[in-house]
Amino acid sequence: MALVLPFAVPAIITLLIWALPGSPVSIICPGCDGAEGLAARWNLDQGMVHFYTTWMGGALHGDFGNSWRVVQGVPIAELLGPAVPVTVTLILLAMVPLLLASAVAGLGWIPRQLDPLFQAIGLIPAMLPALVVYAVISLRFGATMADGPESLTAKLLWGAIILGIADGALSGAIVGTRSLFDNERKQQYVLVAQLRGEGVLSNTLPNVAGALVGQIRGRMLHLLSGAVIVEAVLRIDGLGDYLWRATLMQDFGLVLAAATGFALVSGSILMLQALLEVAVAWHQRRSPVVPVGGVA
Amino acid sequence: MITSNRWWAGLFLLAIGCSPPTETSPAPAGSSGDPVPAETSTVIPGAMVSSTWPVLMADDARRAPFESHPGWAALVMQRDYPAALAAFGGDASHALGQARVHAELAAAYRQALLVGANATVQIYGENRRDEDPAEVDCLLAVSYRMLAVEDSNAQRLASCQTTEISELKAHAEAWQAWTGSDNWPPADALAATPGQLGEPTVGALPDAGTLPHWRTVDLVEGLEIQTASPAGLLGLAMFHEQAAIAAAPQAEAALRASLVPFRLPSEPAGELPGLLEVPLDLLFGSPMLVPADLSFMADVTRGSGATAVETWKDRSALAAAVAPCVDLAAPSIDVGCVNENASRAFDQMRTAMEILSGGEQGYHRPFAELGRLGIVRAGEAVAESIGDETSMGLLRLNALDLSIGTSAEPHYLLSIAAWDAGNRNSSRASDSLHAQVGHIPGVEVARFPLEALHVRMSRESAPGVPMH
Amino acid sequence: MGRSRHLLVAAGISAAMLSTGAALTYYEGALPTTLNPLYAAKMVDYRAQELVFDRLWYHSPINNELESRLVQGWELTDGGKGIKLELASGIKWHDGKPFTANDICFTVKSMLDTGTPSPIAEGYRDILAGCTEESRSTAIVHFTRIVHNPRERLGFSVLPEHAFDGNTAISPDLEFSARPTGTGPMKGSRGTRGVTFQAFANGHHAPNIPQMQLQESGDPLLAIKALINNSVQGIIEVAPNFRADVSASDELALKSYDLRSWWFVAINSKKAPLDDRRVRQALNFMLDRTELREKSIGVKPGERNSPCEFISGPFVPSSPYYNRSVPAVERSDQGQAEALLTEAGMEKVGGRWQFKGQPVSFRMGMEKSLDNEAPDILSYISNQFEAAGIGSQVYKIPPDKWTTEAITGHLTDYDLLVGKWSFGQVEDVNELFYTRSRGKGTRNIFNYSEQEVDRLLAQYDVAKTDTAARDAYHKLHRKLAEDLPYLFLWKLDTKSAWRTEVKSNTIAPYYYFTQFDSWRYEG
Repeated sequence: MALVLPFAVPAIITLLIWALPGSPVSIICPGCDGAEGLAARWNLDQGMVHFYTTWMGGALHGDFGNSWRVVQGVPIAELLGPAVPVTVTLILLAMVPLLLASAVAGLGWIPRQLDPLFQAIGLIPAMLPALVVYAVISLRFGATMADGPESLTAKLLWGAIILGIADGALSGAIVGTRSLFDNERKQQYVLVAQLRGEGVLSNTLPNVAGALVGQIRGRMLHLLSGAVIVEAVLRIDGLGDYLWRATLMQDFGLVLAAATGFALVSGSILMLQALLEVAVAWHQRRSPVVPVGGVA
Repeated sequence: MITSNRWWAGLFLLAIGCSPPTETSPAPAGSSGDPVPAETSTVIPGAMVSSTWPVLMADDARRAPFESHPGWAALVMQRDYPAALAAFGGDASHALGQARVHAELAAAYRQALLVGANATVQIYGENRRDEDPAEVDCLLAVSYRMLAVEDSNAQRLASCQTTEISELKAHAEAWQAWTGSDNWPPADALAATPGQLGEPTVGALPDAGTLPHWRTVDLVEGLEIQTASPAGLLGLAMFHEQAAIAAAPQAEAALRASLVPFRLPSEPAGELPGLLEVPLDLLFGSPMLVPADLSFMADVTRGSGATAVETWKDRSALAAAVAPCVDLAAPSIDVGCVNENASRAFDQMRTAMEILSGGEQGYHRPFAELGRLGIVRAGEAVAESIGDETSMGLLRLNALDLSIGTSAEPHYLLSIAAWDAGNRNSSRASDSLHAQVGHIPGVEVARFPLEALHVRMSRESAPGVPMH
Repeated sequence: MGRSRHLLVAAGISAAMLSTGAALTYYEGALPTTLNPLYAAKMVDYRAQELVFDRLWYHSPINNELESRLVQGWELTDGGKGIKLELASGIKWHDGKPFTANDICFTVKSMLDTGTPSPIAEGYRDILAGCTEESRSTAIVHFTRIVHNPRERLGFSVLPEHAFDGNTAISPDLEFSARPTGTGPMKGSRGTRGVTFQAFANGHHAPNIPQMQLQESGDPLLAIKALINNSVQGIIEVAPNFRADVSASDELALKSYDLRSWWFVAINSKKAPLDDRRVRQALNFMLDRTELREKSIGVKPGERNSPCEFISGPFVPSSPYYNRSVPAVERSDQGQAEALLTEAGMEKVGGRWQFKGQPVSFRMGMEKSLDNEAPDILSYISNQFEAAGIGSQVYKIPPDKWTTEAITGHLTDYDLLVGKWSFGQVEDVNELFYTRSRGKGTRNIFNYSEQEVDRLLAQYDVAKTDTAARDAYHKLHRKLAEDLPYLFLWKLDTKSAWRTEVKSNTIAPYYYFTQFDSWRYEG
């Protein structure tokens, strides 16, 4: 899946471009006289397969063409190059509250009675607090909010907090992790381990590690989708914001590249999960097996 | 029905409430809400500040008769001449108010005449085309005459008398008879100008009669062209000048002095007014701060330039503010200095008013703004007088920006329109003139040549497309 | 200009940059689409390009004199069908290369090249015939015919030949659109969130401000607060509701910006029931413009010196083309509206109008940045239609989409679109109402087509006299007021707000930054 996504996503988008009514070049430059020349420049004059293969060929060499609308004329690689680490930073920062909450929930330190509160917080859509934060930051930084390091730091931190808490992210992490550990705690080997005076966590963690990694991967993908909204509202120049703006402005060159970028990030997370699952499985294989029915 | 944006507005209000305190530079002295500072930078000498009308009006008792009269509210706050005249009508205790309205109308009509004359010269003099009918020579000659420009006026007036339009022919004959003479006003020529005004009457508001004055056709396609003589506005100017003096004969010298800056180039210069007794009614709500300002501005606009500044700087607030900015040797005037001094004088007056009133009042700011405007306009007049055209233009634009709300004096805005028409800036001139149509009866006379100029300029410009 | 002046200017700018480091930042309603003058589509494009490029001739904002920074001498040739230009010396492009006659000829040829799909170039193709480079500093521009005031016709920005490798077919998507090379006072670079300008010392420009930034303003309340807090130093277009706040501040100055703008609601007359003129006329009577103006702009009825005046046709009321015998509809007339809708075959059921048995509901859009000038106007219009029995869904359209789709007639799924047109000296409205075909009607929003209108527009085009042109447009005004491809709303004056630390900031009509060399920032 991880290997297929970066090829499949641009293919689907190419299909969509051709499925839209009108010729693709008229979508990109409506009413342009002399559009035939533009169609040739943008490889839109020989059908979608030609367009896709030419684009893919360039992409494999890091050449994604120029932006058609968002920042007309600027190479897309130049726009997206700095955007990838920004989005990755946002996601990683957003993971901090989630991981902390997961750890605390896994240890059983968050009482169940607080679950409705977390779920209520989770009902808040990310857009709402993002708008409030945007207003505060723009009042604070004014026109410098666009690219100043101070304002970017503020936006990333606040964006991460919003991402990590809103849209059910935090509540999902707490409830999901707690239920994972609770189910595992009920296993007989854990009871036996407790009788032997061993720690619960040291026994359960290796066994839930695989599922935990899966949950974390799921959370990260959830955050990735939420990042589009947060970046767009807070005007963070990340992959999500470029994807949003390019879609609105029908800058398909940038849409292709940004969507492929997302696919690559997703794919990387999937690959990481796969590697971690392999490591966990290898660790489990090396651990002594507890026979069913009791200690020999 | 609730709009969607009330929801957003609520969010933003929440955001504003949550916003941390922001660092701002310290507000300059005199900012609203600031405590009254002990000292304010001095541009106008202290004693003179106390005698400016804005500061005098900080006295409640002195201000009360003006505040309570609808005539003054209409004149000063609304700049609505018809409403002011109607409100003053029959109230002998405010005869000076009536005189003031008539005087400003006299100034306004002169400037509207200049709009028309300048536009006529630009289109039929500088940019004449084959399509223009012969009758335009009449209008051109009269316009040149009003501008005191001799450009074959007699020949033009003679040639256009071949017109088939008998009223236009009579008009041309009368003006030709006046050409070369120094009689002022040109009563006989005015008698042959369309529009029956009757005897100047206090409180009356005549218009320019039926418009257009004449209809002729273009020489290419034979389509109708509507025209009007700018001279029609001269009659209205004379009417109101005489009505002003009739309303307040005791203030004739001051009234005439107030009109000097707005005189037509063809008008005789007259005697230079010395220091005059000027009633407060003639200053209140105007950019003239003290009586000597009228004399100063009259002196400057007669061409005395830097000399006038030196002569009046100890008596006129405007001269005092502008004097440090004039370089007598060059001669030139520093635009930045004038604007800066205007701001400082604004602060001075507000501070003085606040001290007298025991705190800031709502009228302080608009009154002090008029003072600021007066200084910028004085700088503009000095610049023009000493031949510093660039500074004059810049100061004029600054004054235009300041002429909003209660500072939007129609006669001054029309003077800017006249300048614009002379520079072929027909867009802004049209906007300024249009703003007065319907408020000052008859100014639309100037529309005819101005609109013709605008059409010609727009058709001969670089191509333009509508933009969003 | 001597070398010593270049050195002084360069030293001055360097010193200014070292000593202050402060960029002057200002807000626009939207970011420019492009910095390539051939493809300017919005007023913000023109304003930004004015900083980066020099127009061959321009009008002084002070005394309206026709001036040139690039040409030091000229004479007519070829019996008036040509103009010979002697170029000023010492002028460089922003990349340091010298400005020569070749660049002027290249610009002319690019505009004439049909491979340059530029609506602006299209306008020049009727008047320009070509260009000859006589020497490095002398060019002859040829016209298609003898013209009055030939310099007035040469108001285009000059482009560098070397930036395009001599290729005169200039496409809108080149990097030049974001990182142009000009001869203007500032070197510009369009980023994702704004445009950065850096002063460039040159023989004919001496800017005092070393750096500028253009940002998108967003909410007007936040923009004003940012201005008051000195987070930004200027706002190009201040909403009328906030002008009193600006005037009342000692730190801010309200400045006039001469721009002839009028607002409209375009009607999709290709879609039923709006294809029936009576329905369009009914909508015209449903709108209460007085209430609309009061709520969205804050102008009360009878207010003197109002910045907002109603219109009945496609010109501002002060224009000579405006037909003053056609009155504007200032107040709603529900009786008339109902009579017209009934006549058109519609039925009012339960307070809602129905057409062919279906409740009538309109899809309404508005160019998003207009909300900064007239907040919530779209909602107010929608509310008025709702009150009159017609439903609506409202959408705000991003500026880029407005430029590329609304104006080009592609938003045909909308019924109504609220927008604004701005004009300079030239008030040519032909492109708005001509039947759309190759080269004509390029800004005809809903592809409106009416024979009589086309005839009147053609009359204007071929008019031999000013009177004929004016008559044609007077008739056009009357016709459009009857046929209503637009509901004409009002003209609205434009004002800018700048902090008082920005000195000598003379604002040129239409182009704004023509006099930028005199601007100073003492922040």
